[in-house]
Amino acid sequence: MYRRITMLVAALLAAAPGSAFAQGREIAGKVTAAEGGAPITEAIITQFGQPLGVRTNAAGEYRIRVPAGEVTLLVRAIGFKRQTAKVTGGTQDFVLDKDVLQLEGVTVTGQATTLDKRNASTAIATVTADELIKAPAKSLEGNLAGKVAGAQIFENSGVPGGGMQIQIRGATSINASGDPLYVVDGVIVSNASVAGGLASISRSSGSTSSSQDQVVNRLADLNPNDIESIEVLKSAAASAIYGSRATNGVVVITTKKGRAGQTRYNVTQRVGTQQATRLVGSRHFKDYATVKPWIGSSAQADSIAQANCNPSPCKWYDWQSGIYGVEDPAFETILSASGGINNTRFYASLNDRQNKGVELNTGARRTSGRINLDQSIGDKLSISGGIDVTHNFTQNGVGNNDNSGISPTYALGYAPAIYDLRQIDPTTGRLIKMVMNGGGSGTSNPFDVLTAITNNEDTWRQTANLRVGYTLLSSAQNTLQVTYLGGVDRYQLEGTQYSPGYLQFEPADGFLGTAQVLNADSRFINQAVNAVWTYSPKWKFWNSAQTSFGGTYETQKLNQYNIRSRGLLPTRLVPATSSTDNTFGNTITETRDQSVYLNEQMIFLDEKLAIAAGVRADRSSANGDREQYYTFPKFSASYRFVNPLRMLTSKIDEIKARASFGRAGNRPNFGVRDVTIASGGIIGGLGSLVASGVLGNPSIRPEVMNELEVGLDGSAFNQRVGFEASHYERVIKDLLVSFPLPQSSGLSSQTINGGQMSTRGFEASLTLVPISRRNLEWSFRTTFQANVQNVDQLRVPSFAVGGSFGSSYGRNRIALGTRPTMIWGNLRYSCVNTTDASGKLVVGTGADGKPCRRLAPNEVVANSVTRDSMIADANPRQQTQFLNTVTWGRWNLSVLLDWRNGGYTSDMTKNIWDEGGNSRDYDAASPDPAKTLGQWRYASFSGGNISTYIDDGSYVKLREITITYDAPRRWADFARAREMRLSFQARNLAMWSKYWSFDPEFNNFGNSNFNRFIDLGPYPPSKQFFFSVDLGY
Amino acid sequence: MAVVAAATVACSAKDLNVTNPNVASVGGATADPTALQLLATGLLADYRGQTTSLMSPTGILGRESYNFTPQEGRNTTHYLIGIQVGGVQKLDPSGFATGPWSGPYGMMRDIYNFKNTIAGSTTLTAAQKAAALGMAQTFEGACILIIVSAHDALGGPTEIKDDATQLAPFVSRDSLYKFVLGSLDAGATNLQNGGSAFPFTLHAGFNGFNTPATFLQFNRALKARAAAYYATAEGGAGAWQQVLSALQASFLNAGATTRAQFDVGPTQIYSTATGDATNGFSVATNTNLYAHMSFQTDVQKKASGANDDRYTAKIRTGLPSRQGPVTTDGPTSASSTLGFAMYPVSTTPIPIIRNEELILLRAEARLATGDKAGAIADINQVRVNSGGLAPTTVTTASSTDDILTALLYEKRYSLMLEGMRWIDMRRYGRLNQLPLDVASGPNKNFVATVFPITQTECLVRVGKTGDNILGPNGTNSCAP
Repeated sequence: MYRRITMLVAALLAAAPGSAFAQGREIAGKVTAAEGGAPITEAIITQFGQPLGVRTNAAGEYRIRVPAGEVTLLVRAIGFKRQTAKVTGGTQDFVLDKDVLQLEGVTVTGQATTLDKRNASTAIATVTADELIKAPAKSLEGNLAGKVAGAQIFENSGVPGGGMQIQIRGATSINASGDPLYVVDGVIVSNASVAGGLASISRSSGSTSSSQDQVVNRLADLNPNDIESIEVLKSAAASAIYGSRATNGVVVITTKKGRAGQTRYNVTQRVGTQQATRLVGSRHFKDYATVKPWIGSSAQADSIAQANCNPSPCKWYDWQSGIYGVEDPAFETILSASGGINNTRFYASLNDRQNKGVELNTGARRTSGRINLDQSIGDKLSISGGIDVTHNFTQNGVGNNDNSGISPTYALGYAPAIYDLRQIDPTTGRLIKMVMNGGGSGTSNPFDVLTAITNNEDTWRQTANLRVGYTLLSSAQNTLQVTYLGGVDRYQLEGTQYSPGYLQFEPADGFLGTAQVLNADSRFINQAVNAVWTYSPKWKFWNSAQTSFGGTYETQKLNQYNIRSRGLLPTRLVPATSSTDNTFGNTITETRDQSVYLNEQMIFLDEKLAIAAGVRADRSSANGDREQYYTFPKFSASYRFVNPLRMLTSKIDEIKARASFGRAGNRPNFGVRDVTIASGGIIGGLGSLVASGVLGNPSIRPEVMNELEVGLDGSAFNQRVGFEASHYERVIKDLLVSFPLPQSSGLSSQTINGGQMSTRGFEASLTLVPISRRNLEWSFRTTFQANVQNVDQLRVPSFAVGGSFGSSYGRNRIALGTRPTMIWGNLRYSCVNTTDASGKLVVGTGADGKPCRRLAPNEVVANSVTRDSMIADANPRQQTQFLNTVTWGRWNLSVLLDWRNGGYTSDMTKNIWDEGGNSRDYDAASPDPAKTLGQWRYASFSGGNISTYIDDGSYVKLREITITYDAPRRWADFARAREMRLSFQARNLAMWSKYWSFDPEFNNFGNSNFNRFIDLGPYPPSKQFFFSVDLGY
Repeated sequence: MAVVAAATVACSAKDLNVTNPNVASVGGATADPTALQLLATGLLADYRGQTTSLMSPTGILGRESYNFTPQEGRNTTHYLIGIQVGGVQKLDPSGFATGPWSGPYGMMRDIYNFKNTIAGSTTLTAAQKAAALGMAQTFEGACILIIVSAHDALGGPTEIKDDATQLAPFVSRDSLYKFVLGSLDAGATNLQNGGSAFPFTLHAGFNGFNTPATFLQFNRALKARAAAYYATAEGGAGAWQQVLSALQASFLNAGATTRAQFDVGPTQIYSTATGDATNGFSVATNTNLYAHMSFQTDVQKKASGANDDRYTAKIRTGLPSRQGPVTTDGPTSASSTLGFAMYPVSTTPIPIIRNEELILLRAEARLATGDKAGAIADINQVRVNSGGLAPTTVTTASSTDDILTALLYEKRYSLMLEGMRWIDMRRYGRLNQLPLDVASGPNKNFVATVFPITQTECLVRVGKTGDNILGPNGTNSCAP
């Protein structure tokens, strides 16, 4: 039966027009590793210059059909250096060397095209599975931290389960999306930040939900263990293939595929724990008189203070270690199977990860399953597809800004820790109330709150992709392949908040008890068709040309609705009409995009010169003119100098010079284009319509980034030294800004394309292999990145970027000719400016007769004035990472250090604790002998100089430590396994920093383009430890 | 290749037509059959906001009221002290005391859209169109009257450009008044041709004025107010004649004797329904609104020795004493224990224009046109019946100035906190007679003559961007 089908397919293929297999011969052979001689599976053997080839099987064997005569075969395999051989006979074996510098592999150059890394003409950042999963992280961004030169990766807070941000080569936008585009196996996936709704309880904003809700961005749903490799397209020339969604870079993720041969099973079991890395501590009060001003007006607090401060010093209770002391075990189980018979390959995995957060009653659990299938039907048709189903459940607890008195590191700043909060009140049977800070409904006992409150997010996500490829033509010189790609990414997120009416803070808003449910339904669909024609003329100066042509169609839709009830009957845990106050909301956003593109890449001069050019044209429902195509061209070239100094030395293997120019875009936000009319409220029982104050802009265009990148890559000492360096200059124009309309027009503002920003930066990496012996190998890799941004043009008055607290707390300000990353805020000056009769500004001199100058904190002169001024740059001077990997026999040790130099933050946590007279160093000496340190800092702040809270966020972090041991065969036998590996893994083990609060990466407002430096009572950071056993069957 | 090309082209631009379901598009909403009613109600909702937007700030400048909001002393200092510009006290264009500006122009934008909807309507009859247009033009005059009342000599734009990014030209005070009177007259003509009913319903505050014919009376009343204001500016004698003729066509009842008769006129109404607004000047909703103590010191007595009935009815006494912020340089305002009693509950309506004002407008016009006896008769009609006072002591033998002083006392107590006092005192050059709470020192009070053009408007108009184009204290380089 099987044979009959094969014959049928063969007959069909033979009958197909343009078949190139009528003539030719077969070459067979085996591919093995130089070290140890093990067979290499999944090595790719191609006829030189042709894109399609065959793969080796589990025994490392291959068989390829080639035209008659002498041919050149090229063998490539991930982790090994490439090799070519001229073959005339019927057999050819290959022995490959290890690729320590990772020079092999391919880079993405189009929707359906790739290019050998060594010919790449843009900076490449690739992270492979081994590097990615050194130590587990709460979300994929964490796995990438410190591994991609040019990408700054932030953790928004210590909440388990996610909430991180990747910013590639600085911010590219003020008001449009700042998020890279994430593409998993061709599927564009959502990384939306859907605010769960903690604000319903914390009242951090006037709304039912807020970006201050410790939001988990949805990249957290992706299981990093399924990832084979990640490529980050940084430059516009690389990302231009994604057109108007690519200014923030593109993260191209490829999941694991099935491998030929007998099915192999892998089981990994991890057991771990977590600990808070840093807590802010609190003041030890020396006596009753010292604590008295800080306990508030409650008589009960006073009697506690009198009792617990006698004898002095006052008693001190470590509340925070109790609140943030959860060290319950974390578990992760990974099962995977991979195999392939004949023309079918599969990869399947199951993953379950559950861990608690350090804060009481918080945690995360992600369960996911994936199946990837690759099927080839005959020589011409290939189909591959994958399905992933994930359930992600997070208990986020309480943190960040808060107006209810429930966010622990916020509220405790005002509460001297002089009594035990973990006592049970005998009358209520519950934890005692907080009596400090007034003791009324404006505050609460966090132990009680965290036990009673629900703040959960529950997400179900399904992602699927399908790729169908058909080879229309395949000859020695020409191949033509068409592919269809379809992807669907869908999730449903349910946010649930509940706060019972009996809690201490509940009466404050006039309603007892709060319940909210939020539902977010997201659906992304993308489709693409491509045709790729490869021409290999076999001339020495022209090796190949690849032309690709295609189009895409993408839709994204997010439907969110929520219901909140306040004043709940004690019987309800969810909203109900029986409640006193009910609100609901519904928002739908939908965007559709379409594109066509044409790309050309050519390789000349014995594969030394590579030239690529392309253009993509996009139109989108988000643009003012939906029919208008916006074009995104790219050009790039590279030249490899092989043994460039051969006259002097043979130690320089190769130097590649590259240059590229590209353009990428960023769509306007949903709805900006729409000219709308608003409700004018009710009068006399009648509804009304009035003009919307914000005028839609029917001619709004995408933001456009042009980038020029030049770079040098090279290797030396027989690939024991490798380096890469890139300099880039990017100009982002047509920035979306809010233009204030003349008030006399009757309207308030309109979003326009009205600004230009530029970024120049440098990235470099250096890899050394100082020792490479049979039993001992040491490799060292360091990456460096730095950039500076500037506002070049602005068609609107300077403005403070939205999503911040104002000039008393520091925020970014967009002003012509300045760095947009500068933190602006109140500073005091020694003079008062006035205006003369004509309105001209007269710069004053100080009353001391000296020219106007900035005053130091708490410096007093007559006639001083507070002004909103630039204080410090939130953008680090540079960031450098060091990765050391030592392999010694069966042992492997890997250590990743991350050094951020500079980058200021607004430390509002410290501000709160000083305001409450409760900071741990409040009593320390200050520059002013009349004031303690806490007094000095806070007096400066309230006197109009906030520089005492704008702090240097430099740090050195020990991001990852991994020790693995490849167990001897007999250990594996004991578990009846083929192989066994034991690992100890730790993440964020330590941070060395003078920063006062938790972590300079944190941001109260979650993911944001600017203003991402506001530390305000967050969930503290934690370090994680794991012990893992990997078994292979 | 053909497959790819076909698939690419197959996606037509139509596929990108996504509707924004969260908000209504102008096109979509105005095509709705209920749109005319909704847009008309929108104008009424706008107008409610604009009437009170003049009352509150001019009340403070006219030394009628205070806004003693705790924690926000700028509600006092920005009005009474302002800023120093070139050694002169002015109101801060980026501060709290900028008066009505964006609000009336927001209403002008809605009127513009409303007029376009009317003009484009295929279902309305010619009479219905005239009626609707008449109402729109009446409101147009009302809006610009608010602008010119507040900004006086600074002038302002009158035109709404279809493209809101385009700047409408600033015109002089004279042109503003001519626009107001022209709009009101054009509106009157249209109302006369407006048939028997509006093609939409007006709210209950317009009961008695809700047909084209009766709405015309309201139009003429506004015309009388506007012409009187113009008469004391560039309008002169011609404008005074317009006041008298407009009053004849208005709802003037010069023989009014009862409170109800004095109070005849359209009102702004309030309710506690969801989405509706409540009266922000009501005792029930606003505990920060205080009255100036000079109402108490200046009040005239009845024969019985009791206070003027209007004072008794409108002023609450014995409130907890409050005042503006006290700085290191001392108090910034006087303290007060008086409040207002006109709006006892949060749904009490606020008058737009009342018969009592019309009588006093006639008195003004009569006085200005040399009819002292008629003026005194009108003054006494109000003084005796509304105030319960003995007839005024001024006679036809008194100077015009003295009769005017008597008239302004009646306007002050009859139209208390109705947005008249500061404007009247400016019209007659008497702002220097308003009391200053703090007469000297760094917190010296002053009486602003105009509200400034806002900094926001200024920044757009001078076409510059970036900071410090006006200096931190700002001046009005926008005004022509």
